[in-house]
Amino acid sequence: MKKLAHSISFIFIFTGIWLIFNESMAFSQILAGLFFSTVSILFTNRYLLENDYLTAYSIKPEVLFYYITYLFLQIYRSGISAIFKIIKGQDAVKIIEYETCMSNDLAICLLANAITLTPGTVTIGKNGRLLQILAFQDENTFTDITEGKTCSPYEMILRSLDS
Amino acid sequence: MTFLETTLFVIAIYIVLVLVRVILGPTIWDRLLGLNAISAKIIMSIIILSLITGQSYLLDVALVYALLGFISTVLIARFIEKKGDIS
Amino acid sequence: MIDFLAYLLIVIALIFMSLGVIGLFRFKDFYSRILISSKIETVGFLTIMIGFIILSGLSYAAMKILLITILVMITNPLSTHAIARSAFLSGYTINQETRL
Repeated sequence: MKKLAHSISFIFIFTGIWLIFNESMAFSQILAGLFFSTVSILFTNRYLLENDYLTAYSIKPEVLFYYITYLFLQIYRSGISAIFKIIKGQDAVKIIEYETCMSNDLAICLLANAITLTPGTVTIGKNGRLLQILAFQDENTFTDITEGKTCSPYEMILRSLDS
Repeated sequence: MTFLETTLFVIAIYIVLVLVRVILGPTIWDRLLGLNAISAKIIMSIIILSLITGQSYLLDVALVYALLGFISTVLIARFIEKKGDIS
Repeated sequence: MIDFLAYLLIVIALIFMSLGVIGLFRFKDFYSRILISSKIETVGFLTIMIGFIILSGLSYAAMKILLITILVMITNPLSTHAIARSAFLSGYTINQETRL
């Protein structure tokens, strides 16, 4: 029953994308969009995926909203801090290892994506719960956490996925 | 020149400067980084062109370019990482 | 008035992108270049796309630009991650160029 609800919401999203790309809201276009999105969802679930990804990759809308808002602010903060680094010309980097306090695979991937998008850090490796992060020499967000045994702000937001 | 044409001109100058980095680049990953930056700037140029001429079908070209740039960057990076062994 | 806001956003994005191009030439190590350039690239792209959306008003073109923006914001960190991982796994160490 939950799977059916997921499929129906995806069908509506794909129909919206179909209508935007065809630039019309005519009744025949809505019917064609519903038909093609249903066929593509059924074909993908039946033949292309090995496991049941609809339940594994489910995320609540409000968690997604908080995540995007926080990420938006962090992207601009990182841009401002990168400007000062370019003017001063600091170029010492280091590689740190960091173990997350989450076990959900999707949550760890979203965390790695957020780390890549924000202040002076790029994720270069993921091995289970251990992330390898490339960072500037004076970056101390994640080294503080490793000693202090608390979660970073991203993990507090993504915590609700971890059930 | 209108404002949008000036923006297009400035982006073209940036593309030429990044191309210098691609040609000079000491390692192959510098060249990949330059390729990624150039692909993002070409998407912007196509959207500006669509805004100047007022024809919205050019935006589909920008979408396809975004997908192809992403796939080619990831494919070349994986190819180098496995030392040419793609099996 | 609303066009003026869009023009201001586009000028800010052009300044960010020029700093990114300067950063590509100023740093001596590949790892610091990829750290700086990917950040500045993301900020410039997001800002200039918001400017274009405001400029094209409420139409199908604005929604198409929004879709392109979402797509690039998802794929841009992935390609940065692929390049950095490829360099790391191929045995490129920190400050390799300055040590030679």
